[in-house]
Amino acid sequence: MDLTQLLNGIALGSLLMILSSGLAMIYGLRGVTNFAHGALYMAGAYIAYSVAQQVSFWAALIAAPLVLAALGAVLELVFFRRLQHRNHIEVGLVTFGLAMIIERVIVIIWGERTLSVDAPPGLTGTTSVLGSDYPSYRLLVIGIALALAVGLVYWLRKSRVGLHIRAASHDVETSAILGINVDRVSLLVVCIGAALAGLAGTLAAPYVSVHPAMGVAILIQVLIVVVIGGAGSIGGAMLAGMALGILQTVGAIWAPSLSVLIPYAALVVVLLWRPQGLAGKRA
Amino acid sequence: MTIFEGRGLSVRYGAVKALTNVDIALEPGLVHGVIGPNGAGKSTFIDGLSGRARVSSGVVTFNGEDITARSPRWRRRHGIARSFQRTSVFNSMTVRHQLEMVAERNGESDLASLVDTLGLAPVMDRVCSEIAYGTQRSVDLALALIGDPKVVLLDEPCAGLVQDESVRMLQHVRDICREREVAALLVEHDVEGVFRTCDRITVLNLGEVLASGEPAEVRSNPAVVQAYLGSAA
Repeated sequence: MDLTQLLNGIALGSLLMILSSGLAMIYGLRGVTNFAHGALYMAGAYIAYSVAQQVSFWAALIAAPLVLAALGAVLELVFFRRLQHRNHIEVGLVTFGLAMIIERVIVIIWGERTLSVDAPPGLTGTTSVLGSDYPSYRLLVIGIALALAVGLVYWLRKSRVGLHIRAASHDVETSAILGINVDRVSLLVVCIGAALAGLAGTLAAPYVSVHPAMGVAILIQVLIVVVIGGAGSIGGAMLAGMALGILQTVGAIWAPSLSVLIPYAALVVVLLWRPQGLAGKRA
Repeated sequence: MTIFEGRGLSVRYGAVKALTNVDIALEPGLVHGVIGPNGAGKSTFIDGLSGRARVSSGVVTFNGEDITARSPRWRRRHGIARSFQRTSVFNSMTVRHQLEMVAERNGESDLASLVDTLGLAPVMDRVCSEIAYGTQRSVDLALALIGDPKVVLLDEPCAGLVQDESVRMLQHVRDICREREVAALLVEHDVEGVFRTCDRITVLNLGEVLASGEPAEVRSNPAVVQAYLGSAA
């Protein structure tokens, strides 16, 4: 395995890390498996496509997460909050339906053809990393993901709001009774989770092709990442996302015919060896 | 003077009558115990009073105001705190983080003295999952008492504690309630502890009040002796 392959794995892991941390945050707080997360990622990529066409990629990097945060607010206020006392399967099915609606709306607006987004000017070439030439844009993806991971963990650990999020993720009812405004915390978390999906979609747009099946394709991987990381654990999801990205890329070189099985094999191994996930707590 | 009152409270879960027509009146500085065998409706009673369970009939008042429809969070913000049978501690946080967080949310003026009284100073910077269970219970009591609540509803604060810890916990409950003029409701399995600690006691059985009054009065009530304490009591 050479450095380029390792960096490809890290770049894929970076996308999975951003996407799965949002999903884990929402799961941790609302207890909802958000099957619409892949559709949010896809929406981010399509919005990025349009904004990049009309303005610039850098504008898309800001606009897409903001639009998705607004969509997250709708998700929370219209669905998650009203359904918070319903069982998880019912809420899961609602998010599944929402995913289908979002995907259909995207197809109506942008069509079914595959679209491509150019990397921003200045990042279309390669950069030398320890003697190997590597696409500059992918280095940007890795840099943003790592900075985001550090920032998110620091914010959750050190800020007052982060403390409230951690408390509410531990136990919503107790937190509410101890005086934490759980509704406000939930709104914030779902908005951030959706914005992260939008950011991942934007970063993915110049990296992978933008097409209507991209949401479903990545959703399965991200769900596996969240389960492996330990449902609801943001740090665990980040770790598992990066590990899976690297494993998958490396696996595709060493055993191409088996690489597609790697996420599932990893899921089975983790569930057998550590059912609560890498960073999850024992039940 | 009654500060918090439940009148004619009934709670139903579908066709099951979990609580039927129960009255209670809490006064500042006094601890009112609630005992009863498993399934007597003790936790349902506290859930009804704290707003966690919807009461099917009856009224809950606080300072004379009808608060039956108010949410648990509203009640907490207005001075009615509660604890659960399970502890409310956040395992991944330090004791200091969670006490300060709840103090900040509820405007506690003298956290240091509460920490001191409950002997929590040595564990303030330790993560909750790493401290002894008995100490976690004390943190749980501190969480309920933060913000100078006027009423605390305590659901088995001694659950899982050994005898010595249980005695100390109930002593803390009584002392703090007297000192801070807090009206307390204490649901507890430790019957002797309740008789030792409480100023008044209500005995529940099958969701109904079997007896209510001062400890000596309740202890000698023939119905209580028959149904709950046993003939040897």
